[in-house]
Amino acid sequence: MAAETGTPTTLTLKSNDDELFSVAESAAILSVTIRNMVEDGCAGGVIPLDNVDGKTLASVITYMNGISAIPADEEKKKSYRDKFLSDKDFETLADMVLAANYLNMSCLMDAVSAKIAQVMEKKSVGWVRRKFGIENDYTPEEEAAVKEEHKWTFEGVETDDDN
Amino acid sequence: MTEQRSGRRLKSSQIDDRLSDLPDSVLSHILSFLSTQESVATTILGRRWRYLWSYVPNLDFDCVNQEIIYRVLLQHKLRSLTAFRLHYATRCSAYQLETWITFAAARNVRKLDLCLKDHVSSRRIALPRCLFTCETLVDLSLDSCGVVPSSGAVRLPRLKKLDLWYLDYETHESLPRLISGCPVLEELSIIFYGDIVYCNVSSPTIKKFLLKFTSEYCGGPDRLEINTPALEYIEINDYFLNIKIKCGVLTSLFEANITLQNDGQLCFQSLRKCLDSLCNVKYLTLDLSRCVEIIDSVPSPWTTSFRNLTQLELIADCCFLPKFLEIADNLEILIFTEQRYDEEEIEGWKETPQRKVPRCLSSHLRIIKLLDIKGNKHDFEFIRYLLRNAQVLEMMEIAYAEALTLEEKVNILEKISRFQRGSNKCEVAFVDVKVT
Repeated sequence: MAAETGTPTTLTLKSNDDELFSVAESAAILSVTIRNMVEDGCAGGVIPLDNVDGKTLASVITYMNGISAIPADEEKKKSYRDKFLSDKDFETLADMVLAANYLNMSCLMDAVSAKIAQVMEKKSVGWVRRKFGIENDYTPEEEAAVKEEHKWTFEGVETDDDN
Repeated sequence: MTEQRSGRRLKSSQIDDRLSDLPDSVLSHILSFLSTQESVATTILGRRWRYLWSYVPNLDFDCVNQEIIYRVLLQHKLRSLTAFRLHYATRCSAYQLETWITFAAARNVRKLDLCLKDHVSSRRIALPRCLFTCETLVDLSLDSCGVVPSSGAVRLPRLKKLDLWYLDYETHESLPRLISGCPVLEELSIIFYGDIVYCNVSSPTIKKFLLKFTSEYCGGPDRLEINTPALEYIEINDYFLNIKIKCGVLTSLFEANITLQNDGQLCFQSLRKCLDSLCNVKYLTLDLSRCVEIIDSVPSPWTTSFRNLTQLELIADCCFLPKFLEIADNLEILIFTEQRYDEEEIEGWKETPQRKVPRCLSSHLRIIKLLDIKGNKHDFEFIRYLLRNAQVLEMMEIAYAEALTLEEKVNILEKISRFQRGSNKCEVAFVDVKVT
């Protein structure tokens, strides 16, 4: 890693609301998007990240620093990820999954996706719609048809209380 | 409850459908962490979700009936699959199994996990040939799903992890043939079930090997040959009654976890032979608590030295303890549970004054944890011996057996606290067992 060859290189990242962050290159290249920029030599000045706001980027950088400080031990990395995500609300998770997708960080992407999926598991349709703010744009007839078509999938989930 | 719900509604309108804001690729990635039943169920959420599930790159069926499985396979739209998991509980024909495996293989599946829970019918099904030439497979798990053939091509050039649980083998050639077709295999796990006389596991690449025999009456090989020079971790759960094990050199072996189960008499010689091949380990866990009787319980001379062994976890009769202390000069951590199959008071710990104190006690052993201490006579004897002779000991932790009364605990504590300590920096801690 860069740290071993001399002074650690620092990169400056800019969020879409013009906040600047400095982060060690060794941590930042967890993002394949940033790594490609570094490898192509476009990381000299400030790296603009047009799809990530400052609040989310700060969080992602905390994650980058935390996870890159852990040596190759999958168990420890996993428990760090679990802890890191444990207090995040859904809005933050949605921002993080978008940022992870844009930055091409598969480990963060998987962890956040699994966390969102976990929230959806075994929940009623009404609950998921409410929790994630999903608008039901089916007509009642369409909804009944879809429900009939995939009847088998509703075994073993919570029954709806208001739908 | 009603108030809570309206509160949520308010919040959800503020969220403004954030989940549906995510691009399809991200949504289907999220759905890939759900079972197929649950990801198909999301169709009901709204129009946007109608066909999203059919672009999820993995399929996961748990006890879904076959008509549904076929329907989902037909509706699924991706030409490649990262993972296909199918756990099926009812009777399954060879034709069905072949259809499912062919579907996955044709979609370049990387991870395949098949479990047919109806053992009786699955024991007669031959696993389809196309499974063994699925070149994209990285991780293959087969549980109770048929017979491994002994002919036909095996070409699994990317396979790293292979689980073979409760399978039958057409001949004793089936297993070696399968393994030899996996040039980069790193992890192998086998649970023997059927009748197989001879078993040979040879691979230059395997690093992790788990071997389990379900019971001595359910078959398993009479002769087992292990030839895995790159092995780093081995776990064996075994009966050593009649089986002859031949094991090649294991120079890279780092950690071993051995549990012996024996309903008859275990001969220390056969145990020793098995342990000899593990002499390079750094961490060793050995559980002899499920052996009814160890016939020659005064162990025969042992010449093998476990020079790298720094941590030993032993669950056995305490007569084994001195034996292991003698052969592990560099042992630093000892975790010991005194346990016998029959609960009778035994002759117990015998201190042999003519024997010199094992080297690890005088120079390396720093931490001793003793679990399930009941306060038997021999408990005190070996604790006294360890405390007196361990000269660099930093910590001895004594965990009381669960059923002890407060009075018994106090009695143990008082007695042990008075024992002479060979190391002046040694602390003795008494703890209650954690209920796991």
